[in-house]
Amino acid sequence: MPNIATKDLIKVYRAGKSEVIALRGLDMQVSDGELIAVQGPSGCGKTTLLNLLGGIDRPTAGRIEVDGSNLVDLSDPELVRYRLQKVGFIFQFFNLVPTLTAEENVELPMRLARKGPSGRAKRRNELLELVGMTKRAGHRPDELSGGEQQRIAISVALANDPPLLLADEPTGELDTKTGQEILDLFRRLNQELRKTIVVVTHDARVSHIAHRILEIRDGKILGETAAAA
Amino acid sequence: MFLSRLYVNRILRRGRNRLGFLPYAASDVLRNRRRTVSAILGVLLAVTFVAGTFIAIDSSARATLDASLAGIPGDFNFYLYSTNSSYNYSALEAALLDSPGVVDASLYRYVPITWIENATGPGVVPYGPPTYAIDPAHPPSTLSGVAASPSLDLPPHSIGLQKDFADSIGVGLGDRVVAVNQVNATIRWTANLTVGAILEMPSTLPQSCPTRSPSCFFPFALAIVNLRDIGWLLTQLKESDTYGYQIAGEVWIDRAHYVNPYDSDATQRSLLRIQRRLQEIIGPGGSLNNNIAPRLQAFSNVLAGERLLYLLLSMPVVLLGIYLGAVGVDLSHAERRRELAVLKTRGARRGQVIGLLILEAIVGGLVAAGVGLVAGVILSRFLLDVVNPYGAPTPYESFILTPNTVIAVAFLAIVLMATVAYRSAKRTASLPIVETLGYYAPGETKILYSPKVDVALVTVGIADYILVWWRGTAPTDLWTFLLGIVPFLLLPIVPLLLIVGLTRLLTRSTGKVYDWFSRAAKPFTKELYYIIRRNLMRNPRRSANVAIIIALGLAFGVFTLSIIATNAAHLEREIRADIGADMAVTPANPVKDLTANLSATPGVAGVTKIRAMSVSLGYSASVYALDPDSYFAVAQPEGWYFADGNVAHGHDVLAKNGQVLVSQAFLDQAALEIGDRLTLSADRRDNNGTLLGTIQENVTVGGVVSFLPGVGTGPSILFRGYSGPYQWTVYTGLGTMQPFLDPALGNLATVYRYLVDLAPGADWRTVKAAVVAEEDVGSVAVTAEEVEAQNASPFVRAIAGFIGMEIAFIVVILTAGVGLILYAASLERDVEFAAIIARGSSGRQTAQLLVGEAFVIILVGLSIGVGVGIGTAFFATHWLATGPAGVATSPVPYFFVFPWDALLLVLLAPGAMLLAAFLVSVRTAHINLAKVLKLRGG
Repeated sequence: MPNIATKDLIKVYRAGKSEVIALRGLDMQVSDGELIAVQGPSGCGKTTLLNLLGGIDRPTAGRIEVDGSNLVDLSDPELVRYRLQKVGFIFQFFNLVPTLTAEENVELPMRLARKGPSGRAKRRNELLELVGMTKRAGHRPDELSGGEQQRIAISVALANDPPLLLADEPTGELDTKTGQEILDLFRRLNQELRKTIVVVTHDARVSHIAHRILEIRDGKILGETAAAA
Repeated sequence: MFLSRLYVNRILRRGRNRLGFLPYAASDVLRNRRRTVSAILGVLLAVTFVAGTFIAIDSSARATLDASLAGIPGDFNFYLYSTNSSYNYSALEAALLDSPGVVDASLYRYVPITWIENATGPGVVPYGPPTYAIDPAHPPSTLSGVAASPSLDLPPHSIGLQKDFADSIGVGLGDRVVAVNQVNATIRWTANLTVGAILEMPSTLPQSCPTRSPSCFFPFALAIVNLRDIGWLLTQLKESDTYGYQIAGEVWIDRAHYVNPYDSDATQRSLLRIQRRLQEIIGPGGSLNNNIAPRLQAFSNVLAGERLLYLLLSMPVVLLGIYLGAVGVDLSHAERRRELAVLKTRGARRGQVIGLLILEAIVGGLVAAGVGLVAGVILSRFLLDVVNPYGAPTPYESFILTPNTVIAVAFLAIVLMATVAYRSAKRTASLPIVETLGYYAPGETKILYSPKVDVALVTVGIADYILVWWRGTAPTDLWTFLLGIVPFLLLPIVPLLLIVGLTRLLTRSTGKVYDWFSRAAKPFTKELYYIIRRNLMRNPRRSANVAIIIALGLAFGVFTLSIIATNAAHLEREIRADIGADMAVTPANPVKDLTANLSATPGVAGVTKIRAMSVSLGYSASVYALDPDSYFAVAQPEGWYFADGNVAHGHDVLAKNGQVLVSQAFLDQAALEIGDRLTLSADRRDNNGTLLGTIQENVTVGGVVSFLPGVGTGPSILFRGYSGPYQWTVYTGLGTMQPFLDPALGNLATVYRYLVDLAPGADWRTVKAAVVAEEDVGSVAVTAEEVEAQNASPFVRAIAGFIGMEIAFIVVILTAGVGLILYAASLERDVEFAAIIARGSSGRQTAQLLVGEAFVIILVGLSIGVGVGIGTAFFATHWLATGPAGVATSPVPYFFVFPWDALLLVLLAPGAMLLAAFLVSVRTAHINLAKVLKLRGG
């Protein structure tokens, strides 16, 4: 189970002559098994933080320690392995491969990890059952509703059983009822499967499932609230 | 009037509405450079090639005009008569040279001489070569290229003789000759002259007169004297000027100044003015010809014909450019789906959206025209030498851009862009708004292809081949009469119909073909192979668009190169069939046996003698006697000459006494069969011609040939289609003809020809020179020499060179096209790729997806294109020389040739395209995940 710690995390985006400082020395800690919500206004650096934790981007300065390893020191192939095995990313707009069926999308990370066919099939079926999408497994993303797509996306993120899940506005494109279903799913993943989850969201209902809520403003942690979960 | 004003106002309003979009269209084209490039690239490449071709034609127009004027006897030439024995030639010449625009003028007179002989005795054959009195400072065009030794400036009372003629009468420089005016059998007047110069004819003249036989070179012999000696010479020869004599002249003008190939009217006017001035100088009695005017008249037709010919030859490039343009426009419209959907949500009508997209296409066309003209100038430098059918060299810096070319290119670019954009614009504007906001519009998942047109094209093509085959074999009746020559008229375009129809059918009718071929990518993409397979099967339209471009380009290239190579091989075969071996020697003296001398010539590996037999057959057939062993060793006839294809059997028939080979025409028309008996007979006569008896020999038809190479009466053996007795031929062995070969019987056997086989590596030029030097050699024909001469034709070289450039340009289109389409497609799929990388794929693995998909599509295009190209070329070769029954065709069959340059095309083109795909994939491998996911839906 990972312990996550960031120290003086800085990320600067440069576009031509202009600079945008997305994170200004952010310090945070996440213990294993925690479900953390990250909130803040648009442009405060939430998604940037998630990208850095997920190994999708590299910080300009600072440290990101996951289980004692500094992500900054990882080489590109090591970062690929980190993304493949240690973290599962869930996007706001689902980002499923549109030409693959639901079950093929779920298998994709397992194929990347070179799992055998029988192992893939078993794990795939487990995950589809977990998210309640067994009957819709043969459908393509454009044949699924938003909620269904997000469930599949969660299955994809869980495919290689990563200890850490990162979710960027997972309910942003969903209606209230569906969004609640997704949040419930997150709670199950955290409580039953002991996944460490960091969720970036505006959804106020997250307070019912999160252990802590971190408030980010202007690239820094402004404060944190112990949530009801 | 009120109604019409309403109508006009409606039109104007509609026009203003549409034109109101013009600034929007123009700004979209000019600001979105990447999208504009992708939209116009195909049409840009097509108009670049057309522009380059037209500019090259225009730039080489002067060289073409000069080439068409080559060989004329002066830009102007004239004749005038005088009775003045002391005519002042110098004054006339000076007046002509002083005339404005004249750069050279030449006067000459013909000198009537019966013959010229060696002063020490008559020559071998009395002969009088044409003799001209000239001004050496301004020689006439007849002496163009002639090398005079020491010079044309002859001392007084001397003569210049052509070398072969001088050799024939045994004189050289400084020797004395006698010019003779033989008035009648008893009266002759002479003039003693010194040989003051020896004239060598230019190598470009047909000096294929390789023997010393006077009748061979005399047509090219000539002699010259100085114009100042004409009075003295005519006095000596007692030729009188009192009844009048002709002075001839040639005038050359400053063509660079007065002859403008691009302005025919101004040139004609200038020429008329010059002609008037010259007429005044030579006087009203003189006859002046303008040799430029009629050729200039024809020249504008020549230029127009050239443009049309090369435009037609450029059709493959234009067609590919259209296809690539259609894909590029489709991609650019797809990229703007959401933007156009937003326009529609804000009230734009479907027609307005279509109008906007067409307007953008037209603006893009103008950009393509401008850039195409500039690029065309660069390309034209490479085309200068291949657009001139006369082979006249054009200086590299020669550059002409005519208004006609600019207008033609602009028109073509705009029309092509509007054409390729129209269907895509209609489709894009018709998409429902809500669907265009999705990731993949439903239209992407289906090919939306109707095969009717392509099935019709293929059906017409195949039906035409069937009709040609049937028409060629069917006897003439009502149906064949009604059908007429229509199938044969369609024959040249059938390959085009088949190539276009088949490639479209095979690449677009089903997505399964991509599924089958995607298995080829499995070894490279491993765990991600199934994504490629799914992508290709579920998004077949774009794959098909790329595959068809590749297939069309390769099909055209392979077809064209194969047909050219097949034709060239056929021509070589025809020449070899005519000559019979590497070399054929016709003896000047048919009695003397040249076999030993020829065999001893260095470089000769074998010699065989062909004898024409003067024997009767009861039919009007020619009979030839061959030594089977040496004939087959030297001529090496191929199997197709023999009806049963068996060369060895043909040899055995000739080797067996009493058996003969007959020609197919003889067999068919005389209703003969294998095994039939023929009787050969000849009269025996003594030296006084008294009949002593008849020799008869019965022979059996042992085999059938179309003809035997080198055996016949020269080129006429290839006289095509003539079905009379002329092709009736009987070939016998020496053993069978032994009774007729007895010298005591007189000359029943005439040595018609010697066939010579050259040793491997022997230089035919050296061997030919040695053979020509032999006594009693009449003429020599060399297969390699005639093949070289055919291939040296400027027109053939120009067309072959142009097609080579075109195929190279096709490879450029394919590479640029595949690269462009992959690049645009990768941009569209950035989020998909970023998500895959975010889920644990490496950049390299994800890039392999792109390359893998490109590899499969290239493989589909390659397989279909090469298959269709070879198939259509193979079948076309069977009908290359086909015509209706009764129309002459070559007796030499066509054998399909797949040349090495087609193989190179098949290997290099896909290699170049894969390289382009790889370069595009490098971008995908280094995608900025955070930026893409942040900006495009993360």
